[in-house]
Amino acid sequence: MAKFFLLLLITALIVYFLGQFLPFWALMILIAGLSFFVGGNSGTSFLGGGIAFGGVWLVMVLMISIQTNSGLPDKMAALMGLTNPQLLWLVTTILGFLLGGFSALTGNLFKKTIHSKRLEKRPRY
Amino acid sequence: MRYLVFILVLLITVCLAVAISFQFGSIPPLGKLLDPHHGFWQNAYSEDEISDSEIRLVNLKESVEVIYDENLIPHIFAQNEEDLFRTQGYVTAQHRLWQMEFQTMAAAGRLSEIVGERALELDRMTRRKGLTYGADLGMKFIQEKDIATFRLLEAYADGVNQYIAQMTDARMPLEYKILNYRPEPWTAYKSILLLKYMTDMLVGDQDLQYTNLRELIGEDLINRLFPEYPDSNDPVIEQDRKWDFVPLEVKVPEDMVYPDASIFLKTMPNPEPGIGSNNWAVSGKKTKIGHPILANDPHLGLNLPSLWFAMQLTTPSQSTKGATLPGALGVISGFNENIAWGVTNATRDVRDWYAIQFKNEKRTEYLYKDEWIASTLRIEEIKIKGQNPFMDSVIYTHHGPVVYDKSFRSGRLDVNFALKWTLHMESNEQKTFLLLNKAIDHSDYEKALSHYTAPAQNFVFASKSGDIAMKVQGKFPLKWKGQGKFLMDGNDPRFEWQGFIPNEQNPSTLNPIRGFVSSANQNSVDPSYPYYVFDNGFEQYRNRRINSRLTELSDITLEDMKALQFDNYYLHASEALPVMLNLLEIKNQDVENPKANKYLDQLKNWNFYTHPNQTEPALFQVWWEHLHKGIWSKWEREGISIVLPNNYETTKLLKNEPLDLLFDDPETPDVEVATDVATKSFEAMVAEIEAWEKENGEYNWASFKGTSIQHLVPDFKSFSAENVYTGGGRGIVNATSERHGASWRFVVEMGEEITAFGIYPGGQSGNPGSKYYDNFLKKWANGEYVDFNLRKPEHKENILFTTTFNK
Repeated sequence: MAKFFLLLLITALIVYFLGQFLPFWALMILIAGLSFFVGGNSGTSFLGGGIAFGGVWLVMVLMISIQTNSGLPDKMAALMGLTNPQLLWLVTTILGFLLGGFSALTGNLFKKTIHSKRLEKRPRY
Repeated sequence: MRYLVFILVLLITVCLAVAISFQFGSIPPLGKLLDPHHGFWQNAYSEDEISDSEIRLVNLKESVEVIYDENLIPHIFAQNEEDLFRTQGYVTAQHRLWQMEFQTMAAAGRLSEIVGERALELDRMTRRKGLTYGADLGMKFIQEKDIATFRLLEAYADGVNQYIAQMTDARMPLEYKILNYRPEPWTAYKSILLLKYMTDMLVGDQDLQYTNLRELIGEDLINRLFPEYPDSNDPVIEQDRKWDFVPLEVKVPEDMVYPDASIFLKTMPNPEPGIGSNNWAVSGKKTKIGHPILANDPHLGLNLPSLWFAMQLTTPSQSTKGATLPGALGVISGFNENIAWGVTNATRDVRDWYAIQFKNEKRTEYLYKDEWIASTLRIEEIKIKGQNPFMDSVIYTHHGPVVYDKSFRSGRLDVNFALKWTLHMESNEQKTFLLLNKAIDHSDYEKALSHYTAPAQNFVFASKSGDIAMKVQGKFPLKWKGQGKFLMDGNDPRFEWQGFIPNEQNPSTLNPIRGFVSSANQNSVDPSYPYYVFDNGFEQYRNRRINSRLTELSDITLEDMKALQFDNYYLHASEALPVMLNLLEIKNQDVENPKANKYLDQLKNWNFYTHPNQTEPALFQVWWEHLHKGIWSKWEREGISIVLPNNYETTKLLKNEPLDLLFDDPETPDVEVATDVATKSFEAMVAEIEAWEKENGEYNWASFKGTSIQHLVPDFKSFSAENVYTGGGRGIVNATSERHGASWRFVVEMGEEITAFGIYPGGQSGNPGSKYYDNFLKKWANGEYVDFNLRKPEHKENILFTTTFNK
């Protein structure tokens, strides 16, 4: 559980702060690396990375919408053929969730793969 | 097993990242677009929410202060001209970068680079008619002959480029994010290209259409239906003007024979009828406070981001305010502390076509004066997004580029039409505007105009010292009567232009007795002017309405002038409808259809205004369209472009010669007269309006007309404003039609304290997410204005924010 919160917290910080300077794919690599070091259960790692990444994006989108009160999300939704403008928040959040989740899962599984290889190489007595 | 799972998850992750990083068809890279840090969400901020109080702008000589008023109009206070235009470049790019680049991409025939193959035909046309060729010449001319202007153009470009270099992904205009490309550096060349683009937008010709029509109906009928001066000619320069110069001689060649040709090709689009403008100035003796008032409203395509960007440009020696064109230096239509000026299109046939005969299929030599002359070749490489570039070979003769040939819109080996156009000549329009911006009196204005070639404009002028003036300025070829109305023989030197009308002999007037000057795209002069003046596009209605109002009015105030700019009186309807009603065989009692009865009653009681809530304008317009078509469509043939008589001449014919054979429809055994066409078109109108009512409800003018202000990319529908509730229409002083209208309205009173108001359909911001993107729109639609007074740096009221530019 501690690993879940650790991953969640650091991922959130990375996405929020480094995200200002880095494109999303660079964040994905960082999160995979982070998840590699944190390790733990694959399922929790997926959820931790996903919730943090998607969560930060959702919070940002909400903040921007509240701050600006701009009609832009509605206009963009119409442009993208979405019938309901609220869907755009959802799409952004889900996309963030998938990016964070799969990045973390990849890092996590990579560690497990290496680990199991080491196990295999252990001399048998 | 674990290994396999890892590979699978890795693959999913990579695929996901790749899928949202690249563009698929028209779907932009979603990752970049949706990322709240860099994507479209960042464009939700309005300018005041992300403003900087200090910005570093290298190459400045002194600090520059930019004060934004409550409408996001920047007021630039610089210490010298170079700093002023460097900052103008930066500030314009801050708010309109995508638009200014997109417009010059269009002008350069490079849209295919951005939107792909669907723009290829348009790009080819742009290149083939020589826009880039003309800009090359303009660039060379300014570089060699006017280094001072060139330095300012470079300073402006440097300002734009410093903005591009500083711009973060978050601040990048939305359109780049959606269309997935990045801005390239701005250059002085692009500013020149932009002014050429304006020429292209405003200048047309109907030479090939006239040639076809002559084949069809003969020259006599053309002369009758397309008189060079209408009966009611009310020209730009007042009729009683005496021409006090000795005109150059124009030799009219004997036994001229135009080449005969039926031209089966899709000709290039002409400026919309309705693209036009109004301007006028009234002298102090007609105004309430005794100082001149000037008004200008150029009518152009209604687009978002708006064509115009309002600014004040101030140095210790000048302070100018008005509408700028993003990409060009200075104010284009506005005023300073001493003078005011405005522009309307002075349409005239400065585009002529020559049929070229080549020696063989290689087209390296063509016949001129019965000798073979070498042609030159200009290869146009048109890059296309996602595809190999298209190479277009354009042959140039001494007349100009061969626009139409076997590879373009003709498909016939024997068609080679070269275009001669003043756009292809050395020119320096930018200088005119730079000089107007700092002009002090009438002689400065004349000096400024002398550099101006195209597009020809009626420049209205008023000064604080009490002068009002008008000049029709452009580079006008010396032509013999009728020259260039039809396709000409490129071999015969007698068809060549014989030179140009000297600038000082262009029509002009200063302080005419009637106390006002005005222009609305009508004939420039009356027939006493000693040169041949011809254009198919002269307008016959707005000018007469404006002049009759200006004659009637006295003690004129700015409010009167605003009202006149927004005048919805439909002069054409007031002249045509009584004739049409007279011709109509159906009288109220005969009508079986109660709807027809109702429509007829409405028309009979109409006051000829076109306010948005009125229903009569829709009835009239539909009836008139059917009537016009009913008379003239018999001449239309598939694939042949022709020109049809205008509303004024058609009305005249209906009124004076209702029994003329021109009304006969050759398809029927009977001989039709005006009454028949009027009745038939009335019935067609009833059917159309009834159907419209069933589908859309009430046919009030605003709904029926459906004025829309479209984003420059028409697919971006949600960035456009549809069905704007406003009146007016084509041929009406408030010339707001479906897609065209007053793209900028301003009025200024040149009193001790200069008072000015302005408005345009859009907003200062080019960002569809900003609250300043279209905040002027509603005011514009209602005929309201915002304050446009000159601002001093010490004024502290109504400031949105201030930015200081430091070197």
